[in-house]
Amino acid sequence: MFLYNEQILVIDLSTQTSEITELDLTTVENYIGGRVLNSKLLEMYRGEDPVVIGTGPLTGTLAPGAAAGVISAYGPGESIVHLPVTDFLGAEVKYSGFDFIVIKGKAVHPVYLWLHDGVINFNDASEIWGKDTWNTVDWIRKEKGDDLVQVLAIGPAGEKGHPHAQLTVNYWNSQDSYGLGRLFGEKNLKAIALRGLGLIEAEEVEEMVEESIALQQEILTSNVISSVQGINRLVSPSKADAIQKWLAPLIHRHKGCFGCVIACYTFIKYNEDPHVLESTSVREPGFLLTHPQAVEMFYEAGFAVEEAGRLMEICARLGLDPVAAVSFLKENDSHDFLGGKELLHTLVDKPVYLDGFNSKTESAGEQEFYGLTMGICPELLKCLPNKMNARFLQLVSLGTGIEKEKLAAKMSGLNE
Amino acid sequence: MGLTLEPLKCIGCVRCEIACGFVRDGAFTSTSASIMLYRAEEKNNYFGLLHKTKNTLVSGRPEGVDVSLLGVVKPEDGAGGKPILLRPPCQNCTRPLCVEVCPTSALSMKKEAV
Repeated sequence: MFLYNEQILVIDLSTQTSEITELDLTTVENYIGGRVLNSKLLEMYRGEDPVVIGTGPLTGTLAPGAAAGVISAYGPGESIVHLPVTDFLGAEVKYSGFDFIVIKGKAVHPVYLWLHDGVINFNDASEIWGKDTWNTVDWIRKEKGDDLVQVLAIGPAGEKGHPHAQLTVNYWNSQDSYGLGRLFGEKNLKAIALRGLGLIEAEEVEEMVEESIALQQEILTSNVISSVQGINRLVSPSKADAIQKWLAPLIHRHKGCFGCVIACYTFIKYNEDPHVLESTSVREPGFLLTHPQAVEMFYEAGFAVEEAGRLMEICARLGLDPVAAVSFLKENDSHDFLGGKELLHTLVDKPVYLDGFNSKTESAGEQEFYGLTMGICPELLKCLPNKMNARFLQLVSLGTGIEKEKLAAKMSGLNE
Repeated sequence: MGLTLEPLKCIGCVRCEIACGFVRDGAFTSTSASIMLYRAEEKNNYFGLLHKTKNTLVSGRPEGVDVSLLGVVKPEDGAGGKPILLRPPCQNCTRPLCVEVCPTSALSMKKEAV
């Protein structure tokens, strides 16, 4: 089948065994992929404590914004939560040889999973259990001898079962406000490391490439994408100018995710001159801002930008949701780095939900639904008019050979 | 005409790698691309572009663009330099897709390749 590897990997942590279920064309015709198929897989394995990592048909292709993978699990009240994962991790899932990964059960001892080239290894995590996420990523990459290994990890917050523990993507915050880090901790699952040198085939590949280029040009020449780049693109428009001024002294440069045509992440430097682009001996010069809501909240709480950056770094290292963290700091009237740092470490040892903190439970908008089902970054789709969804569905059609009208009717029905 | 690298414009999307992989293999992959993003130093956000030609390895980094003869890999080329040596050289496509898919014009075709 095209655009997929035809592989659903089902992992049982309790027995440290795995099996492959075939992903067939009928399943893709019925569920397309991404968050929709993730939900189906969660239902199939309900009762076995499942977490599902999925890709969309376009993930890893030349479609603009084809970075999106999605992690799904049962959240509070048995509702299903879906966490977008972008940067290079979503595409790496597919290039490692798998389309969907179902993780069941709980390991007896801490483990990390190593997925590469269609192979899975259960690895002992005793040497990294207790390490923060930065040291975990460094350790795994050194162990594998490859700095391009993508790592989904938990820090001390997840290990301690904190309700606001989050999954981090490499060294940086994810959008996890669901406490998925705690689920990994309960499973004794320290990390999932991915690396693959795979190949994604498409039915009408030349037409798909031409259409991807045409769509890219249309996006870049339209007025819907403003020239302002970086994390500022994703904050509330009414605060964008003020936040831009706040961030400006520390901005190093902006960064895009796999296959995207815009750069929505911003690297700030506070341990060396942010204007230094050359390689220096400073190995940890700053932090990549990936979480617009956290940036906005740190700004509104009155932190200096350097202090905010340093505190977000601590959140990422601890594997702690930065939105919950800044709520906690505000609650405790903390507005500086040293006091904040101490409070965040205290918070990790305090496994309770924060009063007044609302985790994200709202239903997805149409763009998020389409993006996470097809494998396109929802943040890119949110910048575009809804009518452009049909153009991305056209790419799915060219890639899979499934009729466009059939896909459109199915997506419309699934989103009701 | 030759490929010109302007790494300071690059946002690190690897669209050039995937496009080149498509030209080689007729599928989406980066393993056979003649152009490669240097992203091995993620924590300090260091970056660059590597381009393998028939006889040279062109390294575009913030320090500038450097051209090395193949077989003479310098120690400072780092982990990102090695894999590209195993890849096929640029075939100077009549229609360079790597340039077409670059959203920031970090790659362009100019009379004198740089």
